[in-house]
Amino acid sequence: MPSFHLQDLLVQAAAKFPERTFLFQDEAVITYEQAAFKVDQIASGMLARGVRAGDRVLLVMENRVELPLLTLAATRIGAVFSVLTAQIMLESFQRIVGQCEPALVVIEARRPELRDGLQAAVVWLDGVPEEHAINDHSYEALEQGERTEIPPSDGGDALAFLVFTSGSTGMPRGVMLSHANVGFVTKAIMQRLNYQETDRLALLLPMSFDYGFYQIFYALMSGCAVFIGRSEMSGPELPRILARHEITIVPGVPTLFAGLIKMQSYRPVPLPHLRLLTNTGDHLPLPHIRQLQQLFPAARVFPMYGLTECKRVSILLPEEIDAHENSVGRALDGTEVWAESPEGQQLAPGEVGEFIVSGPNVGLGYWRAPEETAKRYRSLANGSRLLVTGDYGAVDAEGFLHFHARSDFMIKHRGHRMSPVEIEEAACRSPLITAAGCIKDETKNTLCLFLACHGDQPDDAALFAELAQHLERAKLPDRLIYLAELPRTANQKVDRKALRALLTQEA
Amino acid sequence: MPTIETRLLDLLRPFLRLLPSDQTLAMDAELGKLGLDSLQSIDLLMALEQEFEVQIPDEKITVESFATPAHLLALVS
Repeated sequence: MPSFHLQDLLVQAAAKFPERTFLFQDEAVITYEQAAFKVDQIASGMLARGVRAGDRVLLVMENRVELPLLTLAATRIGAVFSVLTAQIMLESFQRIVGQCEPALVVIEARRPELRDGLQAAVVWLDGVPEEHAINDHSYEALEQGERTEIPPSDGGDALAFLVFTSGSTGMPRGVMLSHANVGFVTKAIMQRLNYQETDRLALLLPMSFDYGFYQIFYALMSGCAVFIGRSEMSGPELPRILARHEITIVPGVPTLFAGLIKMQSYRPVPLPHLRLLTNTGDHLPLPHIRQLQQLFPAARVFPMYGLTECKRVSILLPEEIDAHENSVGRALDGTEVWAESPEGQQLAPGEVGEFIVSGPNVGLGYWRAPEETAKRYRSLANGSRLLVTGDYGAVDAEGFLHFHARSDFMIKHRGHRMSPVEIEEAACRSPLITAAGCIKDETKNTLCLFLACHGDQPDDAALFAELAQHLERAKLPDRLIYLAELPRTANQKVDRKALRALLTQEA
Repeated sequence: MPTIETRLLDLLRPFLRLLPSDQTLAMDAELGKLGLDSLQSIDLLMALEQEFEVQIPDEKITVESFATPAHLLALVS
């Protein structure tokens, strides 16, 4: 039997659910059969523009119906795709381009500056600017070109796509996932979540965020319809958007659910169709789970835990919440998770250590970063890999995971993973700031930036405006705290532990 | 008695953390760019309804309604 190829998901979906809606947004409705046709067209267009198996294709855009089609087209020819946030800073984008040397880049007309200096073939959405009309291509031309024969490509352990996240140094790094990783994890997750072909899912999370993007795979497996939404919709209009589209599934992060709870409590809208709320990205506090259950008695809430490096670690079933209140659930079927001591010993049930993940969900490592890969992935003699998560917790006797803390200072906030270093560096770019230390206040769910400055304390908003030039919105701190000097460790690094102690004292 | 416009701009300011305190807020300023996010928009909606003693009709509560102070003014006046 040939090994699993991501393309198989689309082929099977088009055969099983040809007439069913796959993607919809505004006036656009695309069935599974139409998607398969369009993907072949786009794949032909990519081939014609020189993209080959193994080449990288970068996609920088908001959630829109073209995005899943473009990714599936890249996959169709065996190219490796990566979806980058539409808000990406030019500097981060150029670093990623430098790292992965793409053969094709697709951008939107409203971000023309991303075009500067690109060596790759460039495809524009929403029109090609005049000055690039000769060399570049429009999405329409890509989709409506001549169909060609598409040579088969490797699936299985071959690299399928890259997800760029912040590394511990603040530099972007690409998490590599194979066809086999996605095939396995999609099935294992669907075993717990069980999407149906009658479901209607609201995709409000950006597809540059892996859990947002994986919804496309879950849809292909289940035949459900995906409403292509945007994160801006998770405000006051959210309940009405869900009602209007008769949404049954909302994959979210804690801030999205916080908004849903707030708005639905203030101005309730009947949402009788809602049946599944799945949370990832960050811990969903128990009081929020309870409020969601109260507001939507017919909906089932699934707390989950995972890392991009293995996609999903564990899922807690709704019926398990009462008996395992603060657990993030059991490991996916076919995988194993245990806590390890600093000496590398597997710990007994209930003992706290670093979570180690073993199974076909563990990805291939980081793109062109052998050192970082060696820190997080452990290769075994039998050729399989373990993921060293950097997360601390315990596994109880029944196999339920209890998350405690991250071992390093990586921060998860508003569903995004970030390094404190990148926020500190952005602050230090301001000529007024002499030192910066960033930590998250977990009790208040706020991102706190401690600062020391020359002379008078600058205006908060002015500093925020400077930070906003270097950081994506989700990475902007919620609170600025000025100190005469920042606490330092013995080797003169900012002492984040001492900063954390300051917050504790304050409470 | 301050005008509706002044009251609106005063009410908005604390929601806009990217707006320097010495800078005036224009009626066509993009609130998203000044730091208003979707979760805060909910608090803003509540504050607007309280301050102006109105109930904004459901069909007017859209993502676009929160785009600029001018859009918001249309909601409350």
